[in-house]
Amino acid sequence: MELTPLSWLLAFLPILTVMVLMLAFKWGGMRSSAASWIVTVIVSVVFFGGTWKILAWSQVKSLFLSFNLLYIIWGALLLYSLANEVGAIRMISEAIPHLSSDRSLQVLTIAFLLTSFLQGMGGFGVPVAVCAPILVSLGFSPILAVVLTAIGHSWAVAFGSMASAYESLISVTAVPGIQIAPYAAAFFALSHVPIAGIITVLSTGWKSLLKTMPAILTISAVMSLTLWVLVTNGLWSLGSIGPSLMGLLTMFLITRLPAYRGKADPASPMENKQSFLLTIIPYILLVGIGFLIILIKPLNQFLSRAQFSLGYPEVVSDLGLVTPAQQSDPIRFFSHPGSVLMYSILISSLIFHFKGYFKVGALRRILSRLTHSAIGASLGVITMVGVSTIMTHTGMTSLIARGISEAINRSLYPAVSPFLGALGAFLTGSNSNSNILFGVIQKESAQLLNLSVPLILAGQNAGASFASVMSPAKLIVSCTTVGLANQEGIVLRKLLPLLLVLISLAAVAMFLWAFFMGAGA
Amino acid sequence: MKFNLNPSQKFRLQVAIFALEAIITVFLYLALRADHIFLGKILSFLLILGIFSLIFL
Repeated sequence: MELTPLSWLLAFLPILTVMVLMLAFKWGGMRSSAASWIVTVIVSVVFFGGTWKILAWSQVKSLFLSFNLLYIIWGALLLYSLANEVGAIRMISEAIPHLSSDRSLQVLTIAFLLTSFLQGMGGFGVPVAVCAPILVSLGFSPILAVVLTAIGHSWAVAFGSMASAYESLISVTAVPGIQIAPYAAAFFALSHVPIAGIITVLSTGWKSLLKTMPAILTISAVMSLTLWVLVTNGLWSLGSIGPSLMGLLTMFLITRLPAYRGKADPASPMENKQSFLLTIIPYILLVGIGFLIILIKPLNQFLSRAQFSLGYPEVVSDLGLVTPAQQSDPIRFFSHPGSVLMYSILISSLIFHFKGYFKVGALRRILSRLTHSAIGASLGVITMVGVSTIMTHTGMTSLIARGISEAINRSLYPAVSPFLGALGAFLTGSNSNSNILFGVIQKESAQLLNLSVPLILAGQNAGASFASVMSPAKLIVSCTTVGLANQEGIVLRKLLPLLLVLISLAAVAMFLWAFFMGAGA
Repeated sequence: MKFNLNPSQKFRLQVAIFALEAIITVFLYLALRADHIFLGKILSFLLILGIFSLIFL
């Protein structure tokens, strides 16, 4: 279709629908996505030559694509629900404040490290829901508690939930993850010091920043190095868990130093170490099994033997746009991150069962918590993937990309890409959905402007990761846990400028990288 | 028509619809591969109906 202001606007209508419904009409993410899906179907059929066959094939493709993500999402949430049932989350959260009497380090441990660790394991609003109440119990205001915990794990979203967002970016763009990895790792590594600095200043003031800075620099250096090593070696499913675990370990060592230890709390819950370790066994198993499957190549190859993929035929729109026949990315069921979660869940459930950790009605409570969070997240993913695939098959996505690449200067586009990712995450409430919605647009824009596709996709991922924590959908979950229901607007006003700082830093880094290192594809 | 379901019943229904959606997707894939237009249209409609029933349940 010819690029005109009207055709561009029509192609952009599905995205505009989500924006207007969420911002002006305050609809939830799930219903807005469904409405956007209907608009996409109508616009694609009426203006972009969409046929029922294209719609049906798009839907089959999107459901197959969604399965990859939903298996991880459901597994991560089930693991969290199981851990919560046996009191693992409570024990972890009670243990951390007892490490040091230094208030800055306490806040950094909870708001920066524990939230990032939980994002690596579960995500989907869990980090703030768990950690904000702990900060409130330490004497912080509910609003500040939500702000600190939201910013603290904003870097970890991209590789959190076993890297489901990153996997979605790879799936929709078909760009190998290993190519995007160095850029993605660099942007998030650069964000560690600013994030820890912002948390310290907001919680304990500028004066304590000077005292805490050596600890911040040490922890950030360890986390950044771990992130770089893991992600650039293809272990992006551990890209949040690994650095945050190393950060927690470094923090533990730092709190042993006389300068930071202060007066240790005598009532430490770490006294019964055996019970503590047994309670957090789901997370220990997850990290252990995850590392084993990824690092032991023969085991990985053996588990990856059973794989499944679908063949899609060529489809042609009424306007003559050809989507060639293709084979879907294979799902390697037994080495899939979702299966790693399931192995951990099954083994730890057996241990908890034989040790008598499950109380009456445990299964009902676990499933109830799971359904509350998983159904909404799943439907959001399914409908947004549906929107994205229909738009791609009818040429709407490439038309938007052409419009953007013709309107924005080539040298400026790298700085714009994180903001586009941020917009998608804010609207859809998810880093994954933003990558699904804008990943192909960013890729096609980069190709049209002769920019490095992996660099631009890393910018998309960074912007989406930072902004996802301030999305209305996640803020609702976060605010509810600290008694701030219907006050999401106040929290958003505090969060927005701080997160814009982080997104702007990514934009500047993108611009400089493209300017000095060369941005050719 | 308004259904009054307790959380457990709602969960079971949602899981059942999810499972049905998965089965319908497999059959839709087969119908499309076989170029069976009528069946494809029916299954597409059912698939969409399932998604919307989950959203508004």
